Amino acid sequence: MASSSSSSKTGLKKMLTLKSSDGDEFELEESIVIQCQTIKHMVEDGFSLIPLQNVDTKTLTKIIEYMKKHAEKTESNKEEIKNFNKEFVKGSFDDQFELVSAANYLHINGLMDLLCQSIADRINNKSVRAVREIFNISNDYTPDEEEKVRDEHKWAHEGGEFDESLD
Amino acid sequence: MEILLKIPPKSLLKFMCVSKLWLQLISSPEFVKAHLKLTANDKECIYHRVVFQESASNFKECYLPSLFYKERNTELFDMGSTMEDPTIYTWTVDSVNGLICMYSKFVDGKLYCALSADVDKFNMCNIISLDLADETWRRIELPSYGEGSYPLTLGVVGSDLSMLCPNCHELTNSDVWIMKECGSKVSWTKIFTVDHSKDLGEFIFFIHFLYTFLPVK
Repeated sequence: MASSSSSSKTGLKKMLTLKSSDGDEFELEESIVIQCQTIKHMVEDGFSLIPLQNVDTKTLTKIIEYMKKHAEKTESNKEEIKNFNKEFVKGSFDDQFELVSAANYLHINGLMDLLCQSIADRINNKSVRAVREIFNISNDYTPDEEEKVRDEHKWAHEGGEFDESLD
Repeated sequence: MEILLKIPPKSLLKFMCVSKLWLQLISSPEFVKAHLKLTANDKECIYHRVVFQESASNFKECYLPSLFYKERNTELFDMGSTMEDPTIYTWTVDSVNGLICMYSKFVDGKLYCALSADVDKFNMCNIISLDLADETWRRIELPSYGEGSYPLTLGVVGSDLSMLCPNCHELTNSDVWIMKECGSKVSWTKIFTVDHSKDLGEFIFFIHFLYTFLPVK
């Protein structure tokens, strides 16, 4: 917080530039960007142009949208932020996974929590087969091995139909 | 991993079938510990449930937030459970970290419970222990106290496990035994006999009260 108080003294907002892996540059106020731990550390080390080689423009745009909204967070707009979060996690699984890996790399804890919870809620009732498809995992069990693992916790596979859809 | 940490336990067991890597990850002690920590520290209590025992082997649960916010419907769900035999009679007395404990006593790192050998009869005259350190189950040898056909009641005296065994024929007195464990051997000592009314069913409710007056050792 030391740097933001010094910038308010001068009356000028300190600006930073984020550069996506596609080479696009985004200029933002430092106060918005420091929600992200990785960037905060780079700022403390004196960087003002921050190259993000693991984040493409599409993902970075979404992440900036999130950081801008959450920088406005106060006691009185909780409901608004909640609705924003609800809309924010509505994308496809692939888009959400891109965002998770970016949020993880950038260490934006709040965003990480939000995304993981939303993905967890979405896959909770899905079938094993659907989960494999969604995460692009190939089944390395033989049918016998899989049967054995299933038998060990039979009750977890009971209790109604599981969702086979992939969205 | 971060995503799986937010999945409820039952679904995690289901997802062990996804791949060998997922099985390995979900069953690792590190994952289990992290999962437990996350759910236990959850401030909004979204994972916390209240469990009701509807009948001997049927449990109902409802989510805690639905009790807090009364505008939401409080729904009771059947709990999926592994108790397959509905004739097993259970008393639920406590729970810890999501494990529901069926009438048992905790002594020196081990859980003890009295069980019936025959599921058709309500005669809990066996004691088994679960060592929480290595999760091994053991059947405890009992002293010869006559033909056991009436349920044992477990208690804790000082730091030792004790049991109350009704004397079969008259059912108007019971022996109190204390168990000492030395390595893999257990030994029982009868400390005294108590007289009581015939109806032991009522009597066992007083047992905790009684034990507080017993001398330690």
